[in-house]
Amino acid sequence: MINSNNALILKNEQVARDIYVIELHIPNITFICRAGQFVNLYTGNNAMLLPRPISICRADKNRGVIKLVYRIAGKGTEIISRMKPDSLIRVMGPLGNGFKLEHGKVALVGGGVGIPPLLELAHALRENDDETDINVFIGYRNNETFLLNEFREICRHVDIATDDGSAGFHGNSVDLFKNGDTTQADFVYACGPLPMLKSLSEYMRNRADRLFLSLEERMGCGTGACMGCAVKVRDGANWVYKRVCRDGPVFTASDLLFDIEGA
Amino acid sequence: MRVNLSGVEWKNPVTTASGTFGSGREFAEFFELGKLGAVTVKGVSLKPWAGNPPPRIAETFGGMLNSIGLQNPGVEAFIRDDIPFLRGFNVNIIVNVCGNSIDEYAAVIERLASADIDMLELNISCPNISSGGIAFGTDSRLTHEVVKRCKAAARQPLFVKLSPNVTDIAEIAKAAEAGGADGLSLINTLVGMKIDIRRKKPLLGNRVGGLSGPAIMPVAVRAVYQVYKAVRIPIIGMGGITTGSDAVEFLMAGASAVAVGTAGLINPYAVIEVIEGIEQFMQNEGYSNIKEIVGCAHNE
Ligand SMILES: Cc1cc2nc3c(=O)[nH]c(=O)nc-3n(C[C@H](O)[C@H](O)[C@H](O)COP(=O)(O)OP(=O)(O)OC[C@H]3O[C@@H](n4cnc5c(N)ncnc54)[C@H](O)[C@@H]3O)c2cc1C
Ligand SMILES: Cc1cc2nc3c(=O)[nH]c(=O)nc-3n(C[C@H](O)[C@H](O)[C@H](O)COP(=O)(O)O)c2cc1C
Repeated sequence: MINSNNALILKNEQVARDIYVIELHIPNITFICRAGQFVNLYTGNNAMLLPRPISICRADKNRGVIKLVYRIAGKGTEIISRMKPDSLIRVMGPLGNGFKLEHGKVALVGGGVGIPPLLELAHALRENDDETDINVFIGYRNNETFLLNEFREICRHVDIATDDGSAGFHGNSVDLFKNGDTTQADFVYACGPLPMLKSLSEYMRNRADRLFLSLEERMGCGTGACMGCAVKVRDGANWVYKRVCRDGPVFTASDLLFDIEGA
Repeated sequence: MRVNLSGVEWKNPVTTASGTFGSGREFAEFFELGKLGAVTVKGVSLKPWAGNPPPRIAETFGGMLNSIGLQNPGVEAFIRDDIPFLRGFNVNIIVNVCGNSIDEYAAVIERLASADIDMLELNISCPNISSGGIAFGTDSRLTHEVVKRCKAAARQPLFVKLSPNVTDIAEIAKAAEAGGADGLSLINTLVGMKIDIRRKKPLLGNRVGGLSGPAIMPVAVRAVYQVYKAVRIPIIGMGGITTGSDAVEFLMAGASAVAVGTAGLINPYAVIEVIEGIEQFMQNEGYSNIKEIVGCAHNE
């Protein structure tokens, strides 16, 4: 069931350079959403019609509140960043399919604003099985980190990298993961920029069926109707375009072709 | 609110614009499809079409560009999977037909002759495919030829969807009428482009795309007004409709019915709000029949 209605903004604060946390009171979405799903935010500005898809970072089912973490990437997210608590924002969701919850030793690899959905995933994995060994490898631009304590509260092992070396490992989250994954994880979940996901897929090509990637693509509707957000997915010896919004956003790496431009 | 288009009764004059509503499945989660006058489904071709490479969507001021390229699983899959689904609702089914050649268009229409659908909409105006499509809709001789062939094969009323990317849309409309069209749908999208200034090249994978949404509405209203004067067959008007008042503009310009596209992608209830808005307008202004509004802007 997808809902489309107004949510009350409880909080909308900057937590790092260009990075904001927004909390929305929206029980009908919060109660049914799963890790890996996303919502569409609407700017309310008629010149900017399209939704801004943002992953669910945390769902507080007791309070009916979802938390999202977003980067100011352009004019839409800039408008959203100026919205005040106690005002309303139109939200549609939950959209997409969540992550499949596996057991054993798992690694979560995230870069930048690919990190937020991994937090809800960590909680879901933990609630699903408290034996699951969750290892987190996340990369930031610099020492202005976010969500780090929340990960440390529930995961045994949290490693960070920064692009400029100002904190943790000097490099990106994939190199961090390669160094840290000495006893190989049974399953790996990743979210972040396309080049990062591509390099991770190359590194894990022998176990790509155990690598789950959450993808981004420009979307029209977010519900599957317009066929706008296409990604090439293997189909026997051939391929077909699937929809990131309705068939994803999580795909198994072994199903993807990655001949996408810019990757 | 009832209207009759080429012998097909609609409970209200509102349908969905092809390609913005899939086959209705996604929207059935939001409202009862039976509330619509008709559902116009996405373009259907003879064989499955893969569609264009991403990115396929770009936002523009008050509108959007799309270069989907008519991705669809083909007419056999459509008949098998989508017609039974849509027949579960009390709503007319309009099938949008696309092709790369006259033979392909005609083959799809022949295949649909025995299918349980209510109307056909011939898409000779898609800007997103390399051959066929818009090439037919921008040349009056070709328009006449393709419409004539398709009309001969059609068992349901045949509407022809026109492109605004022409010098004189009335001339194309007349050619479609002369070819035997039962009605016209207008407009399809306007060809446009957006440049990604950081990557220094067109943003869309297909380079060009079709512009839709509120930004194109004045162009669409003008096209309907112009075509209404030139032909006698009914018109389904579309292009940027978001509210009931928008729809009323189209009716006054000469459309007998309207379609809601882009607005429904952004707000799934838009098409319902348009129906309610027309109803409200009629009540406020004391109209009892849509016919009283259709074309009234011409009686200045
Ligand atoms: C499933 C999914 C989950 C996402 N989760 C997050 C998240 O948790 N946090 C976060 O900061 N960002 C996330 N993004 C990216 C975010 O949607 C874009 O950064 C945002 O839409 C940019 O909007 P803008 O108006 O600021 O930028 P503009 O460039 O002005 O936007 C113009 C248009 O392009 C679209 N667009 C631009 N960049 C992207 C992109 N990378 N992906 C999809 N559409 C884009 C916009 O939605 C808009 O329609 C996610 C994207 C997807 C597809
Ligand atoms: C994502 C998208 C897909 C479309 N696909 C089709 C199609 O398959 N066949 C067609 O005739 N028109 C197609 N169109 C055009 C619309 O049906 C409509 O003519 C146009 O968008 C103008 O209406 P609007 O501004 O209300 O969207 C498409 C438009 C969009 C935005």
